[in-house]
Amino acid sequence: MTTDQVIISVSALAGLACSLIGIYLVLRRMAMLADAIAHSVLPGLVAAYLLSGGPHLLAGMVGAVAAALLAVGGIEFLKRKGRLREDAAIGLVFPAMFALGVFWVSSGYQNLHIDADAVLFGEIAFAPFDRWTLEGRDMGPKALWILGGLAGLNAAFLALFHKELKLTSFDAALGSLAGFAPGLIQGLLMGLTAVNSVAAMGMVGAILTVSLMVVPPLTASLWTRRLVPMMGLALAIGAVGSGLGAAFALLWDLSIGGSIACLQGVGLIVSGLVAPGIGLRARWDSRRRQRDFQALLQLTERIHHLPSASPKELAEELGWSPIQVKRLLDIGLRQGVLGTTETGYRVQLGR
Amino acid sequence: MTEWWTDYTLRNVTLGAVMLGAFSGILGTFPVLRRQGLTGDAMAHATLPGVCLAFLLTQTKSYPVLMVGAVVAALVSLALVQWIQSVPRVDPGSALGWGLSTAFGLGVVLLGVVQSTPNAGQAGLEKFLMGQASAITSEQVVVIGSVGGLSVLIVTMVVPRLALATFDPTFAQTQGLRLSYWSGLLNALMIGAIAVGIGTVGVILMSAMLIAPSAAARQWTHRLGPLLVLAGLFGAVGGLFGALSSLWVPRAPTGPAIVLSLSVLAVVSILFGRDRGLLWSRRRGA
Amino acid sequence: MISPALSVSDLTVSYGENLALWDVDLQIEAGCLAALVGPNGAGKSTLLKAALELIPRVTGTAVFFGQPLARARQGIAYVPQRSAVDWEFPVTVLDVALMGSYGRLGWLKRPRRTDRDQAVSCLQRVGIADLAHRHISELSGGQQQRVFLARALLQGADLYLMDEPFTGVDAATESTLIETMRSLRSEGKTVIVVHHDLQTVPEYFDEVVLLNREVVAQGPTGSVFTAENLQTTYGGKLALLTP
Repeated sequence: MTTDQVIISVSALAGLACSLIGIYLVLRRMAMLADAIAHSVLPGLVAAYLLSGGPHLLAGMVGAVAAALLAVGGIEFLKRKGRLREDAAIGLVFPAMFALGVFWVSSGYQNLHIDADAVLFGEIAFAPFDRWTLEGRDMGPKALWILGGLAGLNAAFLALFHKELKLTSFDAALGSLAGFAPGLIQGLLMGLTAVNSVAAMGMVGAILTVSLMVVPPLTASLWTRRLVPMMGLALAIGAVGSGLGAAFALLWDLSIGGSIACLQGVGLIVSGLVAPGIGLRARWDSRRRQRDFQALLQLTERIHHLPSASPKELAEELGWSPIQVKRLLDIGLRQGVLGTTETGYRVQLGR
Repeated sequence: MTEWWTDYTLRNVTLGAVMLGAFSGILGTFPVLRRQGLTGDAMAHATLPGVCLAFLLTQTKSYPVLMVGAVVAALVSLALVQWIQSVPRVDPGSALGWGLSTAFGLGVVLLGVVQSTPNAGQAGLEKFLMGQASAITSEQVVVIGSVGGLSVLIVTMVVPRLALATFDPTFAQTQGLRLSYWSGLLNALMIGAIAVGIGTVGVILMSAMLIAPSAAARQWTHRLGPLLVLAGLFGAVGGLFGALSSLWVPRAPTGPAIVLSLSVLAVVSILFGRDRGLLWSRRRGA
Repeated sequence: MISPALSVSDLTVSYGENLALWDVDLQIEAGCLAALVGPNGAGKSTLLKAALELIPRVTGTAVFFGQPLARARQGIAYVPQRSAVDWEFPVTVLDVALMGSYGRLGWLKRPRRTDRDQAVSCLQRVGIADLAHRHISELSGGQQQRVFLARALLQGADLYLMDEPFTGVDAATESTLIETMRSLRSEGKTVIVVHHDLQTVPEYFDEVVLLNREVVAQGPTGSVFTAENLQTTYGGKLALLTP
């Protein structure tokens, strides 16, 4: 593979892996909590590297998960004991954790193998050169293996706990009644979010992680209400969007992570504009229906008081055009709100 | 002690950090009470592309010019986030996550473009990521003082009305208050605080300047007046210690330093705060 | 002739495409205790909100003491449902009561000593002066409702509109509320209450409006609050709660 091909595949794979876990983050309305986790893993990662004496993958993951659980626990604690609202609790915890990590990274420990730029922007551009050698043999870029493994882990989690996740996301109380532990499922989801965050941070940086995880499932949710099609669509959007974003970035020599986030972001805007039942067309239709409904109410109210008024008189009374009155009379008759009498119209609001 | 005031950098940093901390602490109080702290986070992230675009268009790094770009970008992002929030099936949190990551993504792309232009070296826009205390110039001190001072003056004048509109919106409306005006005013003030703060704290951690002081202050009082005063005080102390320590610790960016010192204040407040502090409530047996 | 305290005519309101109120006409004379009664979703709260222009109307007008809302605003006190308030907001009981003086205060003016004294005496009147410096969230449901009544009293209004004040309050609060309402009536004020409990209607109220999207009946409690009218208002549901 050429370096460009590797970068595009790594991006697509990262998009795929992160959307897998993001589906439930979106369904459980935990996007900002995921953002907090994405920021909070940094000090855990740094501490783990310091303790283990180098950038060991497994140690880093353990540190990251520990830091994420600490952050989530801290947010819960603040909500309960500090009586802060969720947004204030999140807004207090994640900057503190991230600041600690950045402070650590940039002041002093220069032999950490991570620097502030890597934390902020990711190192996807170096992915082709960081290779995995097994017993002297070049197995290809490390990132492909790591992200592939991560995608497999995420998929296994979703498959194993499909029923539990579905039930507890829909209704935590019902879930616990049925014998599932919502806390356990939640904890596993948080831990897995932390693991994904580390991978995504390495690719696109801590801040754009939430874009990889949240935006593709969110976009997918605008196109379908059903869970399994939404999952499929989220995966496709995650993989194709990220791959395309990386391709554009390489073509025009732009930041890869930035381009992916922009493209995914624009995808959501476009979906919000055109998705059936949701887009501008649907909103415009429903607004017009509501306006018609209100106008029809106004008209029926007049008819109620002036049962023998002709359409022309009604138009004068309301200051409307005769065409408008005729149109609304037709709608009213069709919907059964109005009926005709020998002298004019009558209101029949017996719904 | 005289060195303090004769040393240009030290004086600017002290003045700038104290004022910025106090102002953002006060201006952040109402957004936090209205559960809009994280909206501030998304808007702060969105100022990055604004700053970059302002530089690319004007090729100047004059702070007021870059601030205009930041304000415009924050407004655009606010409008877009509110629009996305109005889309069916989109929850407010997801919309914020979308807004901050998309805007920051655009900012990262534009930052790359800026860095590839010939006079990138002088632009120094990287300081908007994590902040830089030594970059506080006397021009910036004047901007912070005037914009922040004016905003705080406006807030103090209308505190009773803001309180009414936040505490009991329905009753406020019957008193003839137009809620949209007041939330518009609060958004404007928050954007003002963000725009003057990002050069010092950086776009990524700016939201903590708005949230942490009033969250800490809330642990000490259950009245609005003292809350605003304390938030200002905590903000000032945190801003000062953070900015100064970042001058003394080599290579430490200012944003994290300020946020860390504010976080220490918050932790202390949560443990010892008089109104809601853990130790007190334990002693009261609550 | 004295104008009625509230006069609503031809009022129609819809939420989206759901009809909430249809062609409502009603008059509440000044100086009485009136109840708005009807099943859930009958549009009782909607009626108050639409009259106060808190929600848009499709058709109709509301007139207070012969004046449009804009000119009558100072004389109206509205007590919303308790759920409409942010209970974590940093205010004390006294602060909330003092909010009743904002309407009188001009721009930039703060409540003065005399306003504070008045607020305290309003709290005394509803029996919670000793809680004045507590945070609002530390109060029980009944005490919270009393704070709102105190705030309305401080407004010194002529017309009091209350949305379900008796819901979720203790018996002592209920009797304090009704005592206060009666003393307001004896001062010539008017009180209109959205009310749920049919049992207490004849005891508490002089006037009743029976509402179910339309006005079913209105007038003095004795002549309007009949089994037949209630049957029409509540439909089949009434069988469950025969008085």
